Amino acid sequence: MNRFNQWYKSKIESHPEDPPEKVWDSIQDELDVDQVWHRLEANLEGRKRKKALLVFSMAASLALLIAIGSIFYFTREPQPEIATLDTSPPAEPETPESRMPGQPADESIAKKLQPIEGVLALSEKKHPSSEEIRGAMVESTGLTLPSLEAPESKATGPLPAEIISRDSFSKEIAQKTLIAEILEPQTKRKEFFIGATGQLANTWMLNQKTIQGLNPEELTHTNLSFGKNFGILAGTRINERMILQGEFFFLSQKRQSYNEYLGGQFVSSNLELDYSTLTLLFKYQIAENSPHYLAGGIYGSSLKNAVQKIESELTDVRNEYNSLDYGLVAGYEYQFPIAGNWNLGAGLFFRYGLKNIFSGNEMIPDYLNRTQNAAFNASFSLNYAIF
Amino acid sequence: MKVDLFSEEEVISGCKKGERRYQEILYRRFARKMYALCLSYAGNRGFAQDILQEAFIKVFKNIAQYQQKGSLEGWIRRIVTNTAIDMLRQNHKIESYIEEEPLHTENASENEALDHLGSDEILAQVARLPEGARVIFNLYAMEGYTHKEIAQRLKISTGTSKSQFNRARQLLQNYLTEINT
Repeated sequence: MNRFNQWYKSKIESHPEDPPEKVWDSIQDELDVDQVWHRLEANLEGRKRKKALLVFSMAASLALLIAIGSIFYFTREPQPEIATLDTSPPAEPETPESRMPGQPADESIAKKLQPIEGVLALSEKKHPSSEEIRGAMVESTGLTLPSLEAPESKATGPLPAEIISRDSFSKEIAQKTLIAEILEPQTKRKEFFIGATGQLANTWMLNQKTIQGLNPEELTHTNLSFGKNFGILAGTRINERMILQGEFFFLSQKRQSYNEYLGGQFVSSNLELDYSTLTLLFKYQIAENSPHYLAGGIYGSSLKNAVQKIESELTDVRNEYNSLDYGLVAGYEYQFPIAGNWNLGAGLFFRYGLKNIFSGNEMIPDYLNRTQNAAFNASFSLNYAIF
Repeated sequence: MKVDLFSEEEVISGCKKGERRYQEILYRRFARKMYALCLSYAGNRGFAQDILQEAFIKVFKNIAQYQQKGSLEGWIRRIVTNTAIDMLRQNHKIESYIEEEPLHTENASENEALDHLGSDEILAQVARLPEGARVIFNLYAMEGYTHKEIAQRLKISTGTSKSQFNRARQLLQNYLTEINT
């Protein structure tokens, strides 16, 4: 008889039916009755916050637009100097008092320009050759100048007719333009590079548990966790100050370690997610020829493995995490040449995932354990400028 | 091994603070099992859902009193059972018992022969039992109460508990044999 009771109990307990969702909704409604005012108050506060957030978002978007606009405005190709110079004559004769400190007097400028009169004289000639210009410069300034044989070079070609035909003021402008162009360093910027990169990452899987775990009074204790990223990179300069760089990390580790009470014991738990990651970065050179770069971009990751280790027991949790993640990257990089076309870079980057990486399981729907990846990365890269 | 993302301690702690998220985690963790229990007492889905809802509201309102001495599931189960009995009593259903001794069916199937029956079919047959007898049968077979405890809980005599249990079991076996053949 007892067997029948046991059989009955096991059959009923294995009944696979879930109660309808409306039951939970009703439970929530009932619980909310006691908290109507608190919720209403929180709701009103939330609206205020939303409004503030909206204003802040709009301001931030505007600032971003202005910043991007400024970057493109100030980094665009310079127009020919002759077209932008103010050609109006000086208002008054300059006195030593009216000059800015350190500004040379006209006499000194004239003195400096005097040695290249020979060069200017050449401009009277209809089509002076580059070698003629070079010879005159060497003779008058004593400088050693590079060869100017390249036929496309602006500095070596015939002077524009409009410069030649101008009055003496225009001659001065032409003189300055010519000097600037001739004396400009002949180093051409490298346009395309490839390399390898590695990162040491302080990784976070942000969810309510790990965030609460930062509070020492909570049951869970969140620990610092570290992972490694390895990959290759390739990039190209898209203008004087901007670089577009792609990075592919074969391995991008995300780790989160915490301690929690499980069955009355304070146990250690490690969540380990391994991704492959593709990153697209725009790097902005803070100043011309500066080694400092600010970077911003996006990334997309594909999950390869996911395991959770509680104490020494390892469990595959691949099915509980989404196979894709994506987010934003921002950071700073210092780049310096080491030899020839080789450059070394070191930087700090922050990555923030926009997607909930937890996909849910039988017991916990995804929204109850919303988890986002975040990481502070110390980055090192070695790249070689191909051309 | 299935990893439990939220330890029982964490869930209880969250529920004690009234955090809705942890309440939902707790509910989803035990809802299926407790719903089956409710179905066995209620006899129909609508009433079972009412019991489940009422029981979990009691769980959340009283979880501060849970001292973690026994298992959480056992504590919730007791609340569900008590809620089921209270709600049946409120509806004046619990006094309905099996008046006559059921006929013994000679070829009453053994458990092995009934093994292929699904829980749905079994619950449907349990629902045919009068409410009072059904509660006694469940308290004894499912919860492991003694007849003395059942008698105290339902304010009936121990003899009534015993006889109702035996009659309910015999009747249920007859029903199950019927559908099995």
